[in-house]
Amino acid sequence: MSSGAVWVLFLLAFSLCPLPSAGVRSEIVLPSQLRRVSTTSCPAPDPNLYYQPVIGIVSHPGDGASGRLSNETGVSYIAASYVKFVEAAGARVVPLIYNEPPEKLLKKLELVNGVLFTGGWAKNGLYFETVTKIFKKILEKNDAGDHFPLYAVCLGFELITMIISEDNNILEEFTASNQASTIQFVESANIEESLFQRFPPELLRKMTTDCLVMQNHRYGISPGKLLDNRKLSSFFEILTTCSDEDDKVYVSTVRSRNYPVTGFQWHPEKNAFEWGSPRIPHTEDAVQITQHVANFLVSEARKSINRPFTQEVLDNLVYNYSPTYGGKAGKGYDEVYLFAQA
Amino acid sequence: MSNDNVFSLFFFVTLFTCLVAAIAQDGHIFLPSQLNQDNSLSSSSSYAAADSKLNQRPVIGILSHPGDGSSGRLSNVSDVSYIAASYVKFVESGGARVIPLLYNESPQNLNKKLDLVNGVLFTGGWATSGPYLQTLQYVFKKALERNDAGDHFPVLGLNLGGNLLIKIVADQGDVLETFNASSLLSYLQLWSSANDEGSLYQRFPSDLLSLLSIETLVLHNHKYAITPRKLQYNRNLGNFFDILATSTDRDDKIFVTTARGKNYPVTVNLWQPEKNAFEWATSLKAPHTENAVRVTQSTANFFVSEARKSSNKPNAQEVRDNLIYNYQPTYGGAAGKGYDQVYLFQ
Repeated sequence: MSSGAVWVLFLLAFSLCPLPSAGVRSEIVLPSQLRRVSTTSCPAPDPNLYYQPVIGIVSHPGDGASGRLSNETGVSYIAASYVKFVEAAGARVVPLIYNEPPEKLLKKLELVNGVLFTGGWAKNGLYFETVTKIFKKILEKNDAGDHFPLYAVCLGFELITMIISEDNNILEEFTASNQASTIQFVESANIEESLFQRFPPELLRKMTTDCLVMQNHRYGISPGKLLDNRKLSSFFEILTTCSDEDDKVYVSTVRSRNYPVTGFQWHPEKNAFEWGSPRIPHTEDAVQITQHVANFLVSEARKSINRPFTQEVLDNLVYNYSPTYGGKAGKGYDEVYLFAQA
Repeated sequence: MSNDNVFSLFFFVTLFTCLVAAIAQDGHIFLPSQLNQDNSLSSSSSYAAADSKLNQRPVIGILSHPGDGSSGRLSNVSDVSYIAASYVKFVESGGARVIPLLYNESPQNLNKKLDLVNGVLFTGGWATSGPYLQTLQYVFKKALERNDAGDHFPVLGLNLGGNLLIKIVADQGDVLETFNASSLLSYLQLWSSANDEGSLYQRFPSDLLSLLSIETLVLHNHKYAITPRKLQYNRNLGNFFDILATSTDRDDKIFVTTARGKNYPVTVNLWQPEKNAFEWATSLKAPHTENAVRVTQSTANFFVSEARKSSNKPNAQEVRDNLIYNYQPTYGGAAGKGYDQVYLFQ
C-alpha cells in the first residue's frame, strides 16, 4: 500500500469522527455502535501463530514417591504440577513415556510444538538415552526451520548440561534442597529475548529481594565452570544465578544463544501447583512467576509450524490418563500421572 | 507490517480515539486510559503491605451441577453431578486448591465442607430450579453470613451461577431476559466502578484492560441476562450490585456481564474466564491467544487474591481429605466435542 493511500484512509477515518465540540454531548455513543466499528477494524489473531499448541512432557523413572504409589518395574511418572503449568498457559500436554518404543516416541514428537524435561534424579541408563535422543531431535527440528521450544527444569537442565558438554562429570554439588531463594540477574544478560521479557519490572525487582523461587537440588553448575567450558558457553547465555546455603553461587536460569531452549535449576511449576512442602512460596507474586514462565513457553510453542492431525492429538493427550493423589498425607507431589511400561 | 494491518491500525486507532473521546463527554462510561493509570497506582501500594496478614493457602469450594455435563454420554446415573475440570484448573492456576461441594449432599456435609474453604464458585450450566437452586441459594446465604460475621469470603458466580445470584438477590422470577449470545466472542464496555478497589478488573494488567474493549478476548455462551436498566431499577439488585461491565449480543442488545456486590465480595460474571485457557472443543470458539489466556489468569488471580483475605485456616489434613484430588476426571472430549474433562460425582 502506498503512503498516499494510507493518508487517504487516515483522513477518511478522521472525517467520520465528529469533533468533541460538534454535538457529541447530545449524542451518546452506545456500546453497540462502538462494537460495530470495532468489528470492521479489529485485528485478527496473528495467522502465523498456532493457537492449539501442544507440549510433550517426558516421564521420569519410578512413581515419584519412592515406591509408595507403585512398585512395578518400568513404571514412570510425570508430576501433575508440570501438566497444570503447561495447561495454565493455554497449551495441552502429550506425555512422552521415556521407556516406550523409540518409533512411538518419534511419532508422538510429531504431535507436539515443544517439549519439557522435568525434575527428578535419573542421570543414566535408558532415561538419559531417551532425553539425549529427544534433545538432539529438538535441535534438528529447529535447524530444519521449525521453532520448537524446550524447557529443561532442574534435573532436565542438569541433563542437557551434561549432553552439551559431553561430560557426565561436569556438575558440582550444592546445598539447595527444599528451599525458596532470591534470584540475581546477570547484568549483561539479554533479558528482552528471554523468558523474562514479559515479566512486570516490579516483579523482576522483587525476585532479587524476596524468596520467590523454589529450589530443590543437590547438583548444579557454577557460572565459572559453565563459562570455562567452551561447548557450554557457546550454547548457553547465563540469565540468572542463585546462592546455596553455603553462599556458593550456581547458575539458575540459562537461555540458548541459537535455539529456543531455556534451562532452569529452580522450579517454576511448584509455586502455583505443589502444596506438600511448607517452603514453597504461594503468594500472589510467586504464583505470577509460575504463570509468566509458563506463558513464555507456550508463546514460543505457538510459533511452531507443526500442525498435527487433531484426532491423533486427542488420542494421545494426558487426558487419557488419570492422576493419582500421592500427597494426601501432606508430603511429596500432590498428584502424579503414573505410566506402566508400554 | 502488511497492508491490511496498516489499514486496520489507522482506521481503528483514529475511530476508536474519537469514539472514546465522545463517550468521555457523557461521563458515564470510563476511559480505559484513566482506568489504567489509577489501577497501577492503587495496586502497587495496597497489596504489598497487607501480604503478611494474607492466607497463602486458600481453598475454594466449587458447587457441582446436576447431570454428567454431556447429555448422558458419560453417565446416566440419576443423581450424578459434575464439575467441568476447567473450573478446577482455573482456580488451581490462581494458586488455590479446590474442594467439590456436591449439590445433592446432606446439609451437614455441606456445612462441614464450607468450614474448610475460603470462597465459593458457582459454575455455568442449565439447572434453574429444584434441589440445585436450593443448594446454591443455601451456600450463597452461608457465604453472606460468613462476611457478616467478619470474614472476607468471596463468591464468584459464572454464567448460570451468576444469573442465579441475580435472581436470588432480586427475589423476583422475571428479571432476566433472553439474549442472543450463544458462543459469542465479545468486547467489554467497562463502567467507572470497574476501577474501584477490590473489583475484578482493577486487578487486570493495564495493557490487557485496555484491550478488552477493542479485542474479542472473552466468550459469552448464554441465553439469559439482565439489562443494565433493569438491574439499576430493581430495588434489591440496585442496592446490592454495582455494574462493572456490559456487553452486546448479536442483536445489539446490551446486557450486564459483570456486576459486583457493593458490600460483599460477590462477583457475577456472564463471560467465561475458564474456557480461554482450558477448554479446547473446536465448536466452542474459545479464544486461545496469549492475551485471551492472560484474561483467564487475571480473573483467577483476582478471585484467589480475594480468597487469600479470608481468615479461615482449617485443619490441613481435613482439607486434604476433601480436596478434588480425591476424585479423578473423566475425558469427555476425546471426540473433540463438549468439555475436555469433567469430574463426575455419583
